[in-house]
Amino acid sequence: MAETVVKITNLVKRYKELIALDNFSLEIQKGEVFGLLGPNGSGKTTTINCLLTLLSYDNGEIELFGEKMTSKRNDLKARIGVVPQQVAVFEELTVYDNIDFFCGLYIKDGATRKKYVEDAIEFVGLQEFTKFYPKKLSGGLLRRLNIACGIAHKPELIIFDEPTVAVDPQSRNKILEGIANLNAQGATIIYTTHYMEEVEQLCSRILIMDHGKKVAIGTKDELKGMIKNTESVVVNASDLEPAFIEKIRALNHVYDVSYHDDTLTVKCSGGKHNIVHVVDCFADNDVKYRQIYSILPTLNEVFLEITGKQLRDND
Amino acid sequence: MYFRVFIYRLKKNIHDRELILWSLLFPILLGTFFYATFSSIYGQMGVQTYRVALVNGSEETTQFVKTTLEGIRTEEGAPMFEVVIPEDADEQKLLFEDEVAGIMDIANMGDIQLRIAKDEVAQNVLSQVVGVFRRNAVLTQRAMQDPQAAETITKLMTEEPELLRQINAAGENKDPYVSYMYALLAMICVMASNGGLQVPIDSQANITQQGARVSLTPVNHRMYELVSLGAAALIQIVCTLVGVALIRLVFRANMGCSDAMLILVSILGTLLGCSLGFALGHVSSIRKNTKEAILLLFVTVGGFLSGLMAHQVKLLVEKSFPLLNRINPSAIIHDAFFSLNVFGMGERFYRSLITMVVMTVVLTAIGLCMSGRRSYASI
Repeated sequence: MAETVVKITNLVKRYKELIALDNFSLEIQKGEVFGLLGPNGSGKTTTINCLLTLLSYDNGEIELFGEKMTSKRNDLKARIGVVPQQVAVFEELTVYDNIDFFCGLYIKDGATRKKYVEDAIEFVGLQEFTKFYPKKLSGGLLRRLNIACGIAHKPELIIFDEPTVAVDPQSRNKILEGIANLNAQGATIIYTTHYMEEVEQLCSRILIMDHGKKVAIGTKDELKGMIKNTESVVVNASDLEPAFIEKIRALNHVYDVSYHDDTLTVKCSGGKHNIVHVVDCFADNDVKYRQIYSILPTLNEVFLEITGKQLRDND
Repeated sequence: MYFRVFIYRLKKNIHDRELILWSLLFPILLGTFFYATFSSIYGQMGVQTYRVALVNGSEETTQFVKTTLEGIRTEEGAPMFEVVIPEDADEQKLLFEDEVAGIMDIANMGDIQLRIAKDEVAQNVLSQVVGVFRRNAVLTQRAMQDPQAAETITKLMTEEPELLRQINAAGENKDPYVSYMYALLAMICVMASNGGLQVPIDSQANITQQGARVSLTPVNHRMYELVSLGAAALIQIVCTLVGVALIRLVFRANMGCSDAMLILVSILGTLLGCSLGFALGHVSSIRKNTKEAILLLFVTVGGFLSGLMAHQVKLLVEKSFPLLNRINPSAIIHDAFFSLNVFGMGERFYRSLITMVVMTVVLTAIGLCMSGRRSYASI
């Protein structure tokens, strides 16, 4: 049985009248890349901060590596790496010095620390920028430095709090590859983000939270299985008769049909070969079409259906 | 590990332009301003003589006090006091119009009353003189009551008053230009609080992201802050010493005391300044900019109340709320420089040094006590 790295039980956190975490529970196993998804204000960062004991909480328990986590547990802190949402480096120190400084707060041995720092620099691809000061770095490079400072000491549990916000595509890919590599090397990852595609790409298990509560949890396929829509068949065709649309609607597993701007959208719940049945129906009724294709549901649709709102506010 | 923290905190502070600006450039600019403004004016001024008014004394007493005061002279042989004997109606007018430094009511020699004008130096000199008169009056009365003790009492009365000893030993310096330079040094020391403030700002999770990152590491947080404070203090001391060197070597101000003493007071003052910023930085969970603004306000108001900008204010505070002068770090640092400037290395000077050390320890301890809290209700 896999070792439980993080165990949160009935966590309650209040900010005066506002309940930020409402009896929130969670378990993360060793080796997982665990995605924490939720809109702004859903409680993701509060959960992370409680986990790290930066925030006090009103009720509940937090265990890390099977032991109760408190602000005085330096032994547990030594096993955690954190990449915060905002870049947390010293402007007055160079890239190398920043990584060396933060790594040095964990690793006492000079030779080991030197190796770890060089590994981290290579890992994030900042070899050419070691003597640069942070203000000379682009947003993407700055994010990579932020990551290097959080992972240089080779922690067992790494928490990434939206590490790719405002990052160029090249740096984003580099960061995502890096996280996958860290996981491959044995680190357990907690990844909070707004970006659904990153979660789909990276995470082995996903928790969707809203209003401080767990809304859904599972693998991405399990989550997709939780919603009614399992496949959408889209057909580009002109002048479809209402009678023909009703025949499509009557097909097995079809639960919704809409027709706008020469585009017919057939939503199906369950069933296999739904697109074949739609194609057959067009052929049987001698109705012509220009293009037909099938769309599988994304996590975005899962999120939309479960929470009733878009994940991202602005993009 | 902590040695490396010390080194990196030094590096960090050296590259902190804003901090160095306040700690180094500020004194250089202000010092240059003082130099350009006051050195030529005061360089032409001679030794100051204080005008003192005597009131309510009998003819005999008035003559005795007048002769005594006029007999007190500086090292250069110049008279220290000029005595005037005003008409009753003129008393207050004299004082308020700055025509005399003080008025001595000598109706009772054992209890001479002194009304002082706003000059702090004059206040101290006259207070000491009045003290000598009072002491001698009491001793004379005792000698009359107990003739057997007369010999001892006579010996006591002929001893040189402490004031004169101090002035002669350390070289009193009442040059206003030098006073400004002392005020400038005191200001530099107090400004070192910016360096101290940076320590909690960089290590508290609820203030900066860097603080949050440090809080997540397995280091002893208090030790980390203490080491960081040491690094900040070292940088500030260097800045202060640059200020001292500037005053002594570039502006060539004769500070009236040994350079060693000047440096000692500057270092202790800087440490007190750092610990002030360190303690203030730990108060409450307010934002970084607000803390910096509060410290600036504290330093400015504290400096104003301690007379760094206008001598009279400190006297007013001393009159109406003396405790403030005992606990205000600016006043304590100013007092140490003032003691050194006016009285040299006397009891008051050593008392100031001890007060600075005690305050530094207390403020640092307060900061460290508050730094232990590492989980916050909100961040």
